[in-house]
Amino acid sequence: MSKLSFEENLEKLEVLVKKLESGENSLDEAVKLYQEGISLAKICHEELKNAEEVIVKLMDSEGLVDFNKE
Amino acid sequence: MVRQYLTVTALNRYLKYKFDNDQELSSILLKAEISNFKRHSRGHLYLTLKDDTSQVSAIMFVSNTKVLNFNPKDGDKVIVEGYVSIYEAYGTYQIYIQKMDLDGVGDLYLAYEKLKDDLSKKGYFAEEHKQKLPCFPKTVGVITSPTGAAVRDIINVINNRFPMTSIIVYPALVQGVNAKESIKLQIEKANQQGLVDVLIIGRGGGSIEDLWAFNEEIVARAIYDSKIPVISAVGHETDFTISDFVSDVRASTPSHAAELVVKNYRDVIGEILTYQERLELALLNLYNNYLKHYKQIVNRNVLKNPMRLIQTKELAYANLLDRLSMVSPVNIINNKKEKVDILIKQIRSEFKYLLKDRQNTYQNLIEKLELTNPLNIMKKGYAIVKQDGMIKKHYTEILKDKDLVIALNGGEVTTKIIAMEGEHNE
Repeated sequence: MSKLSFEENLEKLEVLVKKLESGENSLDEAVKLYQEGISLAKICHEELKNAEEVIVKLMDSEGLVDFNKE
Repeated sequence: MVRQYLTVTALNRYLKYKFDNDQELSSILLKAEISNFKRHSRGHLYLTLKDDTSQVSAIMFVSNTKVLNFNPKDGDKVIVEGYVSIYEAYGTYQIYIQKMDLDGVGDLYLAYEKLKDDLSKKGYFAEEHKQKLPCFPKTVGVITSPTGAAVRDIINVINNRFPMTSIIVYPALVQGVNAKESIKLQIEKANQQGLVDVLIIGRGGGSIEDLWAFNEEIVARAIYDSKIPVISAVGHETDFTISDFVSDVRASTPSHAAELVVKNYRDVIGEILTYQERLELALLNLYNNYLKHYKQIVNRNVLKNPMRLIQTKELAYANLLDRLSMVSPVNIINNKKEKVDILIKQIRSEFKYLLKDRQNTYQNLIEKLELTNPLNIMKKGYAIVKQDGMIKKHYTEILKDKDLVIALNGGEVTTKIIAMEGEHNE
């Protein structure tokens, strides 16, 4: 099952945070990790804020059709 | 012959004695329908039990009514446990009810207990067979009635918590004789199609008969075999079904299932902000560590007081010369002196190299951390001496007949050299 790009980004962010927290990076690397982390956090945050509404489908005998929510 | 006449009381007492000593009548099980139901003010229940052609009076004393799990009313089909006896005052026989259940429910309950026991022994409820729910399901499958309240509750809650999610509703009958087959087929279909990351199977509240499909073995089997994690959400908080036990996670209601299946995006934003704070803190810590390290390097003697190294070497050299002059003829002294001169030149050039290397490191650190500025040093009263635009770091680099430029705090001064008086004898 493929993951949401959101989840992948969040996982990447977690890895970056842990890497930076290890304190084993040069200053250059650290600044790069930091910048990359902040931009990932921003992407994730934006994605969450901009999500609109769930898409609901019905699995008919014919296949997927729109689900009537009313 | 004198005829013996009995009193009515004696007759009734005799009959009561007969009834009470009859094995069959002292414990009977009866299937019947209730009519003429009355609740006495003291709590005793008076009723008639009947079938298509016959009827019999019955009484249930208040002490026995405590364990009733339904409210009896006319027309209820019941199964009854009790004994038959005679009410002497009226000479009527009646059934004294000790236990009464709705007919059918008892059977269902027994079937439920038996299946639960069987499946438990087969390992259907084993903890090690349970699958973990995905953290962020892309698509949630819902197997339920497409027109029920349950599906609407689930959609609303997911929409409110994590609207990035998609939902696929697999329509199923959730009550009636065909429900079990319908639910089973949809679980299998969802697994074959592989479009969803997690399944919610359930329906809203109802009577035990309404929820019965979720107590069927073929439904339990389908849930057990599902490769997709399953959340069971049947009825209300207090309803427990076989599906609840066999599924990976039990939700008390359909809304609760929706809460379990997706995180609240507000909480996730909180997580992201925490990560951001951790990044900032980690970078700051690292920076502080480098700063500390840098200070340690700068404070080393060789950088703080470079002349001391040369002085130490020269002292050793002078000492050596003294010792040589004391023990050796002049030519040997001269010979040795040449060698020592070479040696000291080597020491000097090595030291210069070392010093330069340290200064480079020092310079790099300064640039990297942007901490110091030569202007700051000048503010403390130090000056830089230049000739021909080059910074002069040593007396020996100074040429007497050229202008000297002194850069100090606030500007530069160009001067002529009047005298030179170095300690050096090169």
